[in-house]
Amino acid sequence: MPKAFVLKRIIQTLLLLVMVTGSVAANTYDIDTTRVREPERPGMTTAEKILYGPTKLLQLPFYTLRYTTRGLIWAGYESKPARQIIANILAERGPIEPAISFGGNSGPRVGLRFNFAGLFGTNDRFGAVGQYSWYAYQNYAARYEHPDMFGKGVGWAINGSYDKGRRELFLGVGNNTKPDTDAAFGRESFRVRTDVTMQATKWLKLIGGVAYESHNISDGDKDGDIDQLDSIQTVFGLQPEAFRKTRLWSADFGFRMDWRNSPGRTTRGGLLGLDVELVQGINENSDLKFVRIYGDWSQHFELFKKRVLVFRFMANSIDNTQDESDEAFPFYLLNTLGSEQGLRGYRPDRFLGREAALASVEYRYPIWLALDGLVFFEEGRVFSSFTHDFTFEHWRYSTGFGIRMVGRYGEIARTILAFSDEGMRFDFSMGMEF
Amino acid sequence: MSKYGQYISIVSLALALSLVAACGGHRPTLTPEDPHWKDADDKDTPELEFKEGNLVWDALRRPTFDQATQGVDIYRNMAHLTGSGRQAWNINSYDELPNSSWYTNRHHLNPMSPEEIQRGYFQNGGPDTTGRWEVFRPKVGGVTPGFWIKDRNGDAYILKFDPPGYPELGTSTAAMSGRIFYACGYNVPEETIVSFHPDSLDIGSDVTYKDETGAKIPFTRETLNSILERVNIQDDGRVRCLASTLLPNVRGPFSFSGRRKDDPNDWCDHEHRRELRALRLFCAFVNHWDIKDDNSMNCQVEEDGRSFLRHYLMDFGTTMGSGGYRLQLPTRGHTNFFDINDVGFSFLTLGAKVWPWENPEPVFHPSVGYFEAETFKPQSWKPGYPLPAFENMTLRDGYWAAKVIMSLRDDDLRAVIAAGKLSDEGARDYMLRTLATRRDKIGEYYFKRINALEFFKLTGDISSLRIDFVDLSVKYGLVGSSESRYEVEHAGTELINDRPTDSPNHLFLSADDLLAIKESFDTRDGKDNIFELEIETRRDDGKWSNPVRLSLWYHPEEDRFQLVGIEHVE
Repeated sequence: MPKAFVLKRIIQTLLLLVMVTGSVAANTYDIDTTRVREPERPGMTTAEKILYGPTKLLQLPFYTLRYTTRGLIWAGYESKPARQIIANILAERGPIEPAISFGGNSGPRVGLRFNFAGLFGTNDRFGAVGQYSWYAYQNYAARYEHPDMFGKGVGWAINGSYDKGRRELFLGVGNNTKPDTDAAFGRESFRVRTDVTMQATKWLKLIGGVAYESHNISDGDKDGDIDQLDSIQTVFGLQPEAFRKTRLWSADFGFRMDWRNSPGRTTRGGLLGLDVELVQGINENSDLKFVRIYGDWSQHFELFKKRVLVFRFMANSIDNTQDESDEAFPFYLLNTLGSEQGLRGYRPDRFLGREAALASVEYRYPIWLALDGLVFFEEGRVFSSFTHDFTFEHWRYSTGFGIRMVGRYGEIARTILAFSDEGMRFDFSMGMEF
Repeated sequence: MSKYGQYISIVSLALALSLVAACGGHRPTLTPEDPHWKDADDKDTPELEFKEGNLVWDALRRPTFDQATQGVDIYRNMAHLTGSGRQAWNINSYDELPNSSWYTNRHHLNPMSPEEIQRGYFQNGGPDTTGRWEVFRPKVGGVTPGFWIKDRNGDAYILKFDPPGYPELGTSTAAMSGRIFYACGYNVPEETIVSFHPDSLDIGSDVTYKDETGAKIPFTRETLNSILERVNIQDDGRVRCLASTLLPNVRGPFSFSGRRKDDPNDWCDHEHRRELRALRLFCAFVNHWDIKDDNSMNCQVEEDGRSFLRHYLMDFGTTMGSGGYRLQLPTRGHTNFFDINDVGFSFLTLGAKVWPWENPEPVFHPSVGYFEAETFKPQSWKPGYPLPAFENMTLRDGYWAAKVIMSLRDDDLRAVIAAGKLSDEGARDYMLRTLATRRDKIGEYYFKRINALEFFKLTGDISSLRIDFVDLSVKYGLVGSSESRYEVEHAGTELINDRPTDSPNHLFLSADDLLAIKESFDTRDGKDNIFELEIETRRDDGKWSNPVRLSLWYHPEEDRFQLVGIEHVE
């Protein structure tokens, strides 16, 4: 072995030893801030250059929409009234809320709801809502309530409403009517009611009240419909009494048991309401007397983590003291099924009858902080009389799914796609009930 | 083939080529001047105007238009699919950040003492509590109460408070988070926790505020009391508050995308700034869910006769367990304010998936609020709404943030917690455990995916080269040193194979190896005497990591190697 090579190896080994024993652990970099970089934007790679054009083309609609929206938002942001309205909308149960709905005979309805608290006391509330629709439907309502006006949980409320619709659909009375024989009528209703409430226990509330209501019926005015009341009379065989303008007063008494753990996103408990109403016609309708009974029970069962099954049973009844036939009774006072009254796959007021029953099961599950998804199945039908023709046959059913927005005090908005043997329906409503 | 088919073929081919090209990514050109440690973005600029932000617009555009335009960015999506996303533009050749008007290397590369960390950014030490304070501007409306005061030295502060029923919650979290962001390198205002008695407040002359209709209302003692009714009052009648210095010469918030066109120093699109991309992970660490344009500020500062914009983060009151005026919600950090993906998934699966926020951990300490580490997953943490810079964070950006966060050891975290002045020892211990666990989860996630070798140092010459480095996973106790093996390659040739190292970590390259390497670049024109070494790491699981790629410049006249580049390969 050459000496030079051996010497080199010895030197290398020595150097290695020095480096091992003299090594210092590095724990940072030498940050020399005199090494200054003149910032320079990096150029595009070939791939970026190739894809730049197609990407901008795809982005163009979004940019257009973006800058248009930006202009509107900035304009709104600079506008104090607009900011106030947005703040009110965002604030739960703010003084002003939008009241929007879609899905009835009236087409889209838009309006505003006003809420005020503490007008005459610490607990009282006043609310008012007005809505107008594409088809000139209009409805206005106001309610004042003071739940502890007389102390010991005894309160008082008064509310009034006015509705006017030009094109209420009429398909006949009973369970076996057909959707293709529709006719239309106009309706104008006014109702004022005052009631006394008593919070008997934590869950139980007793309610008694008196009301006055009036209904004016007129021809429907939608092109293509059979728009004569006479025609309705002819097609459906109704008697003249079924069309009379009615003026009614009523007195009612009932209770409401509410053992839900929350009125908003309920996961446990139930709600049971029962109301018996004695109705008497006045003036030319003084011969009209009947008793209305409303029963509605919903029960919530939590499966897990706010996934809830809701069972609902509803039964409404009209007991006519004169025992008038269905054809002679004012059809617009009959109990109804369809849309939000039950059987959401059918149009509003689709089924009319003295008696109506509904059973539904709804699965609600959280999809966001204040958003629930829901799927439901429901069955219902109307009868002439529970006692005479009640049967489990020929019940109508509908199913569907949707999303609802819930607040602390209840449902704020709901959108539903529902299906039945008469097709598909889309319903949207926004704005809490009083 | 039809004409239509030909077009489709051409487009498909272009896309395929682009996809292949996209996989390549950028490779910076290295020089012996690398790495740079300062960006020249503090050049003298004229006075810039104040540009107001728009909360509503930001909340709308971020989750909608920004997401949509990103969604159709073909290159971006291809790069993401191939795991070669655009790297940040403003990193240096060591995969680090140079100092700039946005960022200053602090604890990670310039270790701070626990005392320095506890002090945080120091301007004048907080308001003078020995004299009376003058309220000169109230904050009457809004969700969180507050007002601006001047102490007897004339220094101005904005005071923020704890929510009723949660003593120390809002003030401590803001103070702690501010310290963390400062230690990690961001510009923040000075924030100090002090107490005062309401009787020591005077109301300045002619102080007014605007009500909801915009009318000017005189600010009175009653109005002041109404503000104080909404804050937590201590048993002794004093009020604990966070005194935040007013940032000077504010010019409006910065954006998490684009550039400020009127600022010639603003050279880098914000979504391509590493400090803003990686901010996502710092925010995840302290659950700064409320990060948004509006919680930042550009300030025109003067230094050495130059006037330029410096960029600040501010308002840390909605971090950790504090929701500002209430407890932090369990959803915060798990999901955006409105997350269309999560909503859609839940809706379509009928709520089958139980999200982590649906099983909230209990709140053990009111002064800590809802802050936990059990359900924390750094990779899936989400801010209030998607921010383009956050969306662009690559693994390398995340790894960089992770090593900065991991540099905060327990003593450092104790110093942070001390700044929060939590009176309950149990709360302090809980906070330490929580922060340490979140930190380690961040480290574990990113150090598993990026080869966490750092602080390379070369010693020797062409006859023998020693490479010292620190294995951060070992250093921070995430893995044992005995579990680790290292391998060095050059141009596909293994130079060192499956070797453990003692602590401190070091590897040797022999003269034969180095001569062979030298020959490989001697054949070139000699201008770029540069070669690459790749170091891979293997743990007990037997898998070799992605390499750390070292770029060494050989100076033949000095027989010296210079480390000019470090790349942590994704």
